[in-house]
Amino acid sequence: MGQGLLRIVTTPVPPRWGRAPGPGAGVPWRYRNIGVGLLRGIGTRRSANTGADTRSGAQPVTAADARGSDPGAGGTPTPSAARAAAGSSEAAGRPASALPPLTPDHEPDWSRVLGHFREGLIVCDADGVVRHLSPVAERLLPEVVAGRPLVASDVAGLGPGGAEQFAHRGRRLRVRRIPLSGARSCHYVEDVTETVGQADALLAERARSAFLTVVGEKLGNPLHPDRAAAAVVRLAVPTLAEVAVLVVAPRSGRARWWRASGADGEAPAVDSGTLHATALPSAIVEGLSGAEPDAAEQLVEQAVAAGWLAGLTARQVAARVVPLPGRDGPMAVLLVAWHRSRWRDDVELVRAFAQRAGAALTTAALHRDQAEFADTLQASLLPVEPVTVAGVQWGTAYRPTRASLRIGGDFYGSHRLPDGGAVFFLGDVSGKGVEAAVFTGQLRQSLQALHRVETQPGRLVTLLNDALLSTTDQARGQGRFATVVLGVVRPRRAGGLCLTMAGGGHLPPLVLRATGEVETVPLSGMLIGVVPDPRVGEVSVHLEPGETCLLYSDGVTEARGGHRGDEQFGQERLANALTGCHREPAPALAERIEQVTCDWLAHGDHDDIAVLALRATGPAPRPRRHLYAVPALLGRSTVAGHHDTRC
Amino acid sequence: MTFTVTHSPRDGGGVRLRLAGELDLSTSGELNDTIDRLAAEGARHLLLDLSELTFCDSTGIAAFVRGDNRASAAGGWLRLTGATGRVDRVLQVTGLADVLRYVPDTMDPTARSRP
Repeated sequence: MGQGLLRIVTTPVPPRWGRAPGPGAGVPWRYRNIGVGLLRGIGTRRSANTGADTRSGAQPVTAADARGSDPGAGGTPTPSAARAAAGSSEAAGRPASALPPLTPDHEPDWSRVLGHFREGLIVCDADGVVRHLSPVAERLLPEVVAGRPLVASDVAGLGPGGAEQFAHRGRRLRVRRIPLSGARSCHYVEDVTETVGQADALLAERARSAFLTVVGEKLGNPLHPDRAAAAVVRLAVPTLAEVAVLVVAPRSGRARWWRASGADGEAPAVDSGTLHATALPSAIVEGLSGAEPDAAEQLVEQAVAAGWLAGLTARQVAARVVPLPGRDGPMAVLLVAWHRSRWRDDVELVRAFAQRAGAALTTAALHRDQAEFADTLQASLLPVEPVTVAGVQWGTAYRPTRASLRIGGDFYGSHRLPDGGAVFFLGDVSGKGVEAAVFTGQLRQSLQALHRVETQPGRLVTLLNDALLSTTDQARGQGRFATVVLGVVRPRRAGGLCLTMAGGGHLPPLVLRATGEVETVPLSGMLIGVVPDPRVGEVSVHLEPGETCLLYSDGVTEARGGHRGDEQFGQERLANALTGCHREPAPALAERIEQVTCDWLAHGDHDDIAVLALRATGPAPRPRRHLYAVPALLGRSTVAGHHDTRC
Repeated sequence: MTFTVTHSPRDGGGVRLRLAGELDLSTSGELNDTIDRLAAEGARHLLLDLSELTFCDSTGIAAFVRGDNRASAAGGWLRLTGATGRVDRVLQVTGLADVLRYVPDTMDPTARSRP
């Protein structure tokens, strides 16, 4: 053995230990007596001078016994003790006198002690010939034979420059070489397979946790179900599968699937498709019923048959199917497939992934259902485009507030009348969200029915008030009410339009005259749904061709913005914004109001904005004809028939 | 941009609430809470002094209506007084100025508030 190959393993030594020269140097003080005895024992055996004797002299304690025994009872060194031994070449011992020598009566059976070491020992003489082998060393390194040079064993890890750790016969071995006196040396050989395996398992577990954390983050935000499904398969590749297929439980007889495929290092390609429920592979159906089908040939064949494993044959592939838990049983299944040669069947990880994916998909489905509900509700409440009436050009603008349900409290609409005219209305209900939506629905339904029995605007508003009062009885405590402007428009024989409007506590309409001036219609009245028999104002307005009447909600005039950021837009600015715009068609005017309101808004956040514009079409009026708004504040009993006399 | 509501017992019974600042979506809850608390303490006649109120939107209107509904259910009333400027205009537009007008000379103002 070359002198220069001496391996020195250092460990920190408490300074107080110091160094003490002497026969015991090189051996930690607490092992010194044992070490001396050990060497004495070996020396004794060496006199026998045969490997066979050495082996036969070993105590009948197997390595398995030693490993299975209680570390305390069996004398198996603890890791710290082993580390202390590893530092023996550095750590100086205390003087030998520190421990009294053991009397022969009390001297332990060193061979036995040795046999219980977890480490195997190989002691070589100055020539590098193996002089002693402990049973553990024999078992771990059968190539090493006592009486022959250690290098002859041809175990790479034991040779010059051998690694501290090396693989041997399927085990992981750690070797320390300690020089002994007289140029002899001792190899301590430890089987660290399990320790390393545990470390590997720990690393794998950490990788699993990291993976699942990423999965949780990516799927944590509520997504659209389709995007969530695509994200699930994309995340599964390559950690869980080379090909991942997510099959969602059939809705309306059809099952959608998403697939991601790709090898390590490349972004997986995702595609999707639909299968008829009856065409689903039986393993998928089984999975959707909650069972976890075995990774059987059948499963792979079915996946190939379904066209999910493009370019692969059933023989090349190993696969597994796990259900994704939903609210009531599995809501989807995940099929993970690998090329058979690269199969890493980590079923626990796949299941943990499936749990998270199932939760994400369930949440996404819930959000979709809510969104669908809101969309349906909103669609039923969205103002419909006004009915076609001869001589009327309509213009509308509607921008609901950015509320969670996107349902505003503003409404407008129209109904055609048998005589060629139409009822039109624009209003606002108090409150927001579902409550406001339901109230708006009641109001619209009431108007839908009531306009068939009453076409006189003032009386119609009063009837509407009564209808709302009866339906709002239960909600009276909530202070629910509506404001509305409701009118009847009829073409005039002489050209232009006659508008009769009733006010239910709403902002007064504006009229854009042919001169470009803006007038405010003097319409008053009480909000509806609050008191029985409210005061309802009524006004008739004549529009010449080219003149426009504009109804708007308070989202326009109460829009806050401007230089200070909280200033209201107000009626005056609205009137100014329209002045001189008399040549614009009704849709452009409605859009203009929406635009100037949004421009005014400081924070982009706004209340509902609704605009309804009626423009009289037809040939321009003869120059001298000029008509004015005719106010008429009428009680309930006095409104009948007036509109006929005025228009 | 702030809103405060203070209240004190009124001569001849009832409670006078003094509203100041801006009554809107963000502050009307405070008024509702105050009205609910007073109602729970047995106050049936609430007079809301709006002379220092600078702004009132539809949620404020809703709070007045709700308060009046609640008071009248208990045999009482809620009335408004002192509104000026924009607040008065809102009350005029909505007609609430008539519905909830306070008439000092009358023991029961509801008798005159309805046309």
